[in-house]
Amino acid sequence: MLVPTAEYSSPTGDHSFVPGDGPHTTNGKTTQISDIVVKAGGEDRDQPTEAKDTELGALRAQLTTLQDKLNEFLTQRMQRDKVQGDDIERRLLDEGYDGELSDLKRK
Amino acid sequence: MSETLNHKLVLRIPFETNKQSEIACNSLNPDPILKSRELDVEFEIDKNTLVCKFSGTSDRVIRVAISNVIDNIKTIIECMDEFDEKKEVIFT
Repeated sequence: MLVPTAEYSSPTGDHSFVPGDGPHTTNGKTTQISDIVVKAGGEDRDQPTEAKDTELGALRAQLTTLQDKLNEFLTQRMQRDKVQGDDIERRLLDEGYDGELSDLKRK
Repeated sequence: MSETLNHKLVLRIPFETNKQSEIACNSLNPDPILKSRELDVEFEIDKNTLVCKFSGTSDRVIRVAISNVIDNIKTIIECMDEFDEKKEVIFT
């Protein structure tokens, strides 16, 4: 079986990714049109075809799962960074912190 | 410049043959990297495995780049699966 993998590293942590046990499909959670568009009557005209029952078909489905995992992981990190950024901004503006910015980032 | 590209992601996609990984690599390579101060992407082949190396200034930059490249790789895989008859007459 052809199994795609990924390895992430940054100054704040490392992470490895594998598609896992499945089931895997080509219809990714993070690559569809948004729920807001669907609820407004929108139609996804760019839906992927189903995976064929071949090695490459299975690879495409597993790669879609891996893509979902990577997207969710990185989105979470982006949101966490945003919260931390907002907190630093709030403390600077609302609490009148006048020390080193690096001290705030460490807390 | 490279000091700021400290968010890294290595993607490994194994194919059935060396030839398929070569085709995938050659299909992806011509795409120019926009905002090269924020992102660097390298495509390599390790036998039958396509290796994509992303280095970026932030998680946001990496996320946009990998999702885009994975979409392209899925299209490449689908083309091979659909059209490659595993004969030399195709994809030569």
